[in-house]
Amino acid sequence: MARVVKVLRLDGPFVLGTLGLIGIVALWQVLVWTGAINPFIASSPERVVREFGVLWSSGQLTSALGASGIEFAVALGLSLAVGCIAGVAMYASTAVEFAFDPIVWFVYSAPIVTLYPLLIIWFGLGRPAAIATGFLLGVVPIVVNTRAGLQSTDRHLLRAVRSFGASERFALLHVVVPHSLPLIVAGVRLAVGRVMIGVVVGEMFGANQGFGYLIAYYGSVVKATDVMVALCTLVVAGIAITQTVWLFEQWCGRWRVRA
Amino acid sequence: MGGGRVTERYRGLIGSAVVIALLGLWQLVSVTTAAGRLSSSPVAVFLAVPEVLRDGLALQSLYSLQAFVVGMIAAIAAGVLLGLFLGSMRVLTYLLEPSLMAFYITPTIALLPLVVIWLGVGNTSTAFIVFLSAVFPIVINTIAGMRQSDPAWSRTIRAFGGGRLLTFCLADVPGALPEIVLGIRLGIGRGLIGIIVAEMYASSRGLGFLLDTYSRAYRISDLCVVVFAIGIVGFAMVQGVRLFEDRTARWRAS
Repeated sequence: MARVVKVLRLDGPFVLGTLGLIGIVALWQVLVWTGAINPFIASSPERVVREFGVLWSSGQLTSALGASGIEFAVALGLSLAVGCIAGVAMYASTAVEFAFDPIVWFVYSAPIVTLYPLLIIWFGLGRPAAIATGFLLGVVPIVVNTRAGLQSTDRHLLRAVRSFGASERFALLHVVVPHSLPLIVAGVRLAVGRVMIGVVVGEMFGANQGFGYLIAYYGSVVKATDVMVALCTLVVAGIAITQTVWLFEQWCGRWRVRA
Repeated sequence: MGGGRVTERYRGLIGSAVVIALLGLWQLVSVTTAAGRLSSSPVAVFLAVPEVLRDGLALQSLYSLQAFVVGMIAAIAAGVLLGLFLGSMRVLTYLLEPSLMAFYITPTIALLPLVVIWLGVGNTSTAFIVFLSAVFPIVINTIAGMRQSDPAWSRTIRAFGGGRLLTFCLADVPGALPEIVLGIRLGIGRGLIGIIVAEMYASSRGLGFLLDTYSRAYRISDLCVVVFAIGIVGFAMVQGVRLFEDRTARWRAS
């Protein structure tokens, strides 16, 4: 109960944040009404809501959600699988770490979208190229954070359980994994954003479904309102996914003692 | 971990050996299999360098760099100032952080078709996309940094009779510096994605346009030259900021 009151406090982050969001939308609408911005190229909240209904009932949004959702899920799933295995391998063996460190950092820092034209040539337009771009962008933060998480395990804790006779398995399950999980999940959260960029960019060029396609298509026929509808849906989906991962991250770190 | 101990001494050696081995493998595969037609080879890429230089790699790079630098400077200036301003007042932080977060989470690159409608095809659009891509990580991290800064510092300054302005300048801003630099590093990463995609989509000049041209013509060796050139520049930029970041983090820790 006390938590509910805290969330609903008038000067709390939740209420004020919602107010801020409403304020921005209202400002947008007012600017359109007063004629300060042209609704033809900047749309307006009113038009977006109306057009949202149209696009939703025509099935375009649901099919885009389905198409982009599958690409996103496959790219993130691949990033998770490859990223975790590579991260564990780099943690477990110094030789593996030294071997792949330069490549990992290069892929992390260099703008990987430059590979996109090559990916199109190799995998074909549309879905495969979008998945490959999302994967390449998403895998590196997971590798880096998995390794960093495992390496950050408190040595004293490890030595403590070992001196009490714990097996390697016990130490792994009860010390290393709980200790590193929050950082690993933080890597996944970073990856979510990057995979989304990859998938959307992949769909903007040459796909025939998904949010990137909707946005590029409606942009090319100068229908700003429809672009905004697709964008807003994408934003809501992005926030939902990121917040879910963030909640999981908090849950993984719940054993931590608050300082 | 058994077997021979691999010490720090071998880090560079093993790393470069793997890179060379991968390049060798690439060469081998492209020479021996049919896939070589679509994947070029290290030697072919190296030989393509003069051709790409003749095509105006330097000029196109300058063109891209110009838009990138303009967008980045605007993003850093606006992002840091806005972040410091919002971060110094709790009510403002609460009011606007969720909205900024929404933009931080969204791939702002998706705004590209709209930006093209607003600003047309060309340099203004690409610079604006760089700005849009980079500004939100910077704002969000600056605000986060203000929250991280050590309250003991500001209390010390107050105890010695310092005012609000002095506290802001001497405690809040330096305290937030590591996060600000982190935000700038993330911003550069996103800005680079932004400029390349924007030029591929909506420009007739710059490196992104060059990439697009080569890929349409299936000139894969030339394409790889541009990919490597962009990769190296991006890598250098991000690593440069990372070095600076390590320094700011070090003095805070001590």
